[in-house]
Amino acid sequence: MALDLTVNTEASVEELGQRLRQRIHAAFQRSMQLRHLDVGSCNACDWELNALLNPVYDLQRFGLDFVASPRHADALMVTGAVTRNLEPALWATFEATPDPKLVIAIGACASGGGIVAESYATAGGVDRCLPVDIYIPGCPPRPTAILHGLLMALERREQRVRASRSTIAR
Amino acid sequence: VFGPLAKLPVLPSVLRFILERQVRPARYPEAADPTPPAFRGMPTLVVERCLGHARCSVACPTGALTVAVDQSGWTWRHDKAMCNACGLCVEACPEQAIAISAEFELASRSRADLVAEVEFVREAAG
Repeated sequence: MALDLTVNTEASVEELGQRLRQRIHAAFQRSMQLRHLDVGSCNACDWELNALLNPVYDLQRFGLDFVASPRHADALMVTGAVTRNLEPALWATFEATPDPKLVIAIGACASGGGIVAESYATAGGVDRCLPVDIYIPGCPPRPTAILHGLLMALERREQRVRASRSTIAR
Repeated sequence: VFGPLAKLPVLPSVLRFILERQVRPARYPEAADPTPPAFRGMPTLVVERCLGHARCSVACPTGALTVAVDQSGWTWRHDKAMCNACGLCVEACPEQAIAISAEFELASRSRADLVAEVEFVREAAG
């Protein structure tokens, strides 16, 4: 069952919000925890991530929240074009995140290199180092664009959970 | 009218002031979140206007926009993952063939989906 991301003004807010919350709780049995990881970002994307938690965007109403440790996280929100100095930190954080984990590349730098591209000092995108599940382009992406990507990530996570359950059953 | 009743006409505006001070959350994704007027999105090509000058690819600071020109025609290629939405391509185009879109729901599962390609075939001369 695909998550319907189309904008529907007819349906009531409470009904749709409730449905979304139910889906998160079905996939996780709790809220979805995100870990923000800055690997050489200019802070624009980081501010947009910050804005997701303010009362205007109110990320927590969907059962999504930011945590302080990758060991508590379900998804890594990576911003920045992976500088040489922060590449070991990216690896360490990825290894510290429990499976099944999602890697979400936020912004032009993380998803394709952006203005810094590939050089002696930067890898030029997170996908040069790690498998990326969701790309959110934009410089920086709007908070709603990030929210759209997160809803897409949730669908991906549901597929992974279903796949791991079927392998355990076998 | 004198006394406390004199304040009655301003009551609606006072009430409105109190109510409007509350933060109204964006209703996205249940409802559309309209982009602000100054929002600058990704460039899109107005296909019928493009003549293959390739000025946009010269102006592009990140290399997100490339125009490959050969004998038979040209290919306009835009990589959203690299684009900074700076708008320099819009200014550079002499044909005004590039427009800025207000689209922001651009998240994608694969890198390849973020690349838009438009192929042009040059009309035979004479």
